[in-house]
Amino acid sequence: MAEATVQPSKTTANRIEIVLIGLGVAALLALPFFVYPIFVMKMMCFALFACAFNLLLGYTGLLSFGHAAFFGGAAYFTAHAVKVWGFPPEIGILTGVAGAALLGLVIGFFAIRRQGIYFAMITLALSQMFFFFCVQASFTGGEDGIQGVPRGTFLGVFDLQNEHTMYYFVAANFLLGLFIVWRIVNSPFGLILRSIRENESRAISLGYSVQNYKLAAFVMSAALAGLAGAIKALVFQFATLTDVAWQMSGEVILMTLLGGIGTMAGPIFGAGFVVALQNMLATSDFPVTIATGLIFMVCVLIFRRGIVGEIYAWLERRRGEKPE
Amino acid sequence: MTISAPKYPASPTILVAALLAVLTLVVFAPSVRADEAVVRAGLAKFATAKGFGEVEAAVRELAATGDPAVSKPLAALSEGNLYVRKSDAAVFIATSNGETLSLADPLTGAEAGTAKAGEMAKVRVNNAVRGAIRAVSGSLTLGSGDAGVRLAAANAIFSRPDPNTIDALDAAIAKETDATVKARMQIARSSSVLASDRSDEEKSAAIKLISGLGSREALNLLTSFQSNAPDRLKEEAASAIRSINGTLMAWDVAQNVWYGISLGSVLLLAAIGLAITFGVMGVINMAHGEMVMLGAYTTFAVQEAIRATAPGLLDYSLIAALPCAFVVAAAVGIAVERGIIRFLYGRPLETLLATWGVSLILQQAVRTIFGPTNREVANPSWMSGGFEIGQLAITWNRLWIVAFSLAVFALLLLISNRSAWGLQMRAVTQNRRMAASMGIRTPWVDAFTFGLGSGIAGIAGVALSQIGNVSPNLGQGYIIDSFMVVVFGGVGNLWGTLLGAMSLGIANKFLEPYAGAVLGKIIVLVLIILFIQKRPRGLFALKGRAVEA
Repeated sequence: MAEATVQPSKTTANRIEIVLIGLGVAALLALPFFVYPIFVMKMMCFALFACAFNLLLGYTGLLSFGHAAFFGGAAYFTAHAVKVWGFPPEIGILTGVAGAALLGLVIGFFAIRRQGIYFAMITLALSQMFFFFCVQASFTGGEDGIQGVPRGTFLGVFDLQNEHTMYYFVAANFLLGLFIVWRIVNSPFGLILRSIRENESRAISLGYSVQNYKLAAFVMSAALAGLAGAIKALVFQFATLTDVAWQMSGEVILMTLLGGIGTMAGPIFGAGFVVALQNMLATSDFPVTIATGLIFMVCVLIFRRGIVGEIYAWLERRRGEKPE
Repeated sequence: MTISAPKYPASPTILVAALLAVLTLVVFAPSVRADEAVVRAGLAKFATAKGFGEVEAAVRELAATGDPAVSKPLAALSEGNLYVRKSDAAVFIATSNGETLSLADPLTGAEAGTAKAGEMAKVRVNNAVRGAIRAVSGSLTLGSGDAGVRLAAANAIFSRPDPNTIDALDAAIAKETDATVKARMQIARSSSVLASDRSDEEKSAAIKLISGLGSREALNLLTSFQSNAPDRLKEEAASAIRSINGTLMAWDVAQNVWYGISLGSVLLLAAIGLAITFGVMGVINMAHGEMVMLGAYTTFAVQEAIRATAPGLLDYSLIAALPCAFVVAAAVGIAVERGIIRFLYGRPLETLLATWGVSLILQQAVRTIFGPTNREVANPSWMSGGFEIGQLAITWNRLWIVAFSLAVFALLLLISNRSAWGLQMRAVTQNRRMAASMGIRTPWVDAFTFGLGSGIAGIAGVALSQIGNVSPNLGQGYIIDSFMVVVFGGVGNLWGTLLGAMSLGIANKFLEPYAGAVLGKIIVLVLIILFIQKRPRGLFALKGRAVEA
């Protein structure tokens, strides 16, 4: 059943994706010579974050309202490991990812037992708890956050103080993260996740222990979000409360929704669009939150497939096939 | 009555000066009472006192006369209005009059001419002297005709025990007829006994009396007494302290329960609107907190309008704000329902996201209109202040909010159980399709329910404006707590919401002192989440075939 609905769109999607991936990687390699590298690095961090989130929302059908906890939490863990414990960046990032995965295990354990609104609200509540913990705990530096995080030298060879070296380091991590997401989605495991999304009762009746699959997906998503957060901490050399606040959870939902849930490229475009929009509006008088709110409403009400989703649907229609 | 404190022996020069002063004053005041001469002699000591120590001694000596008339010069002294004429060392109360000072007799207040500033010397006081004046003025008013003044005097002595007041207290206790005041005086006397060098038996009786009081100041008194008491009394004081601690702990529990009820009633106001909409429509309105915020800003606007047009009615601005806040929030709520939510029927998650967008826009709109800074809504006079029951401090605004939220709850209960609309609401909550097939216009019920829920959030904002500042993100914090209340209490049952709000509030306040505010909240949340694993439909689950969690 799941195969039947997914298969036809997959061929077109695959072809477009291959072209896009080729173009994307080429652009990625060339971009730092034309655009401010930090800006692109920020986009990559959020794009990876959105892809990790999409793994849960798009492919498993779970709307988590608390992913900022993993993103910001990993940023704190990495920043602390690198700055206070003096870890090299690669170990620091691993610390962040492991911390986020652990956090994901705890939050996921409580949350996956409920569905729909309950799931969303429980993740929101638990991530708020983590936020308050960060406000209070001593290692996070409270309102000030952790500042002056050293980038260090990757593997003792590449000096990440250099902007371009840092850029390619981030790009490599970004591509690695995307590859992991792609691999998960296109594995038998990923197909089971999709079957859960489509019809949970049927997946249960087929003998899959849905709870375990959901929890596994939740932890993977949390770990990948953690990877994004860990890199962000190194790029900007600080970790603050903004990254754990619930607005961040909302932002990643927005990015995914805007780009198109359940597509590989959607969250990347969504994240790029939102980051660019924020960058633009930051210098104008128009308040960012109104734009964010409007995009939310428009996406939910009339534009449900998102940018990439609409493009896919349009391509499907051109081929004379019924869109999914 | 003229015994001066043994620490401050009167020097011969002072005595001579006193005699002189008395002689001079006799000329000015022909109708001198017998002991007024003594008072005048005491007063004259201010003229010769060197240093603050001697001034303080003079103050105590004056007070020891027990004549209520000395309270006037003492008050003047503490305000720095007591002067000595350099030429004849006479003491006056003087008020500055430009270049000159107009003099008045310190006891009778009769005018006594004027003097140039250079001719007079001010009697200087420091904080120690002022403290002494406060302490002794307590014993002076013990003989007052007003029971309230006597009570205040006893309290003043209790908080600043002074062995010199024991005699005055004994006299006052003998005359006292009011039982409350008498008890209070006895306690004040006990505290003074503890500070004196009386016999151990008297002191142990005093300890017993004080330990019966069970208040925090009694505890402080005994603790400071214990630190330099003889061994036998030390043991007694320690056991008294233990018993007071026990009493205080019981009061602490009561205080926590009260704080919990107060927090719970705020939660109830915020959550009950959410409970209704979630029950009827199965959607979470993420902009619910913003409805609370809108209500609070409406209160602010109404108050500002009244302040500008009719300042005399300022005390009633809250009453005017209630319907306004309800209407504003309900109108926004209905607009959101008609404009957005009805198109998303059956897709609760998308509703969540869309209303989140609404909440962002509302917040930003308010921030743009009213500015990002906190606004303050004034408390009307009938809501400020508070009172105490035993050791329980209750402020009026909290009490009003508790009463108000219970009133709102009762009103909603009435609507839900006694009106046709309430019946329809409950029908749709239980089984939407069946209700629709029975001819209930479910879209209308949805819209009005949403309006009602939002309107109640609006009046919750009126209440919240009374216990904190009004800011654009006022409502943000309430959405999660409100949701937890609804989930804990059970959907579709108002009593469940009441119980959920109160138990959450009380649990929060009980955990706070032991685990800290943040950890306390975390524990409460984890407990709720564990609870709904066991009972997904909350405390009061709706029974029926088509109820979907």
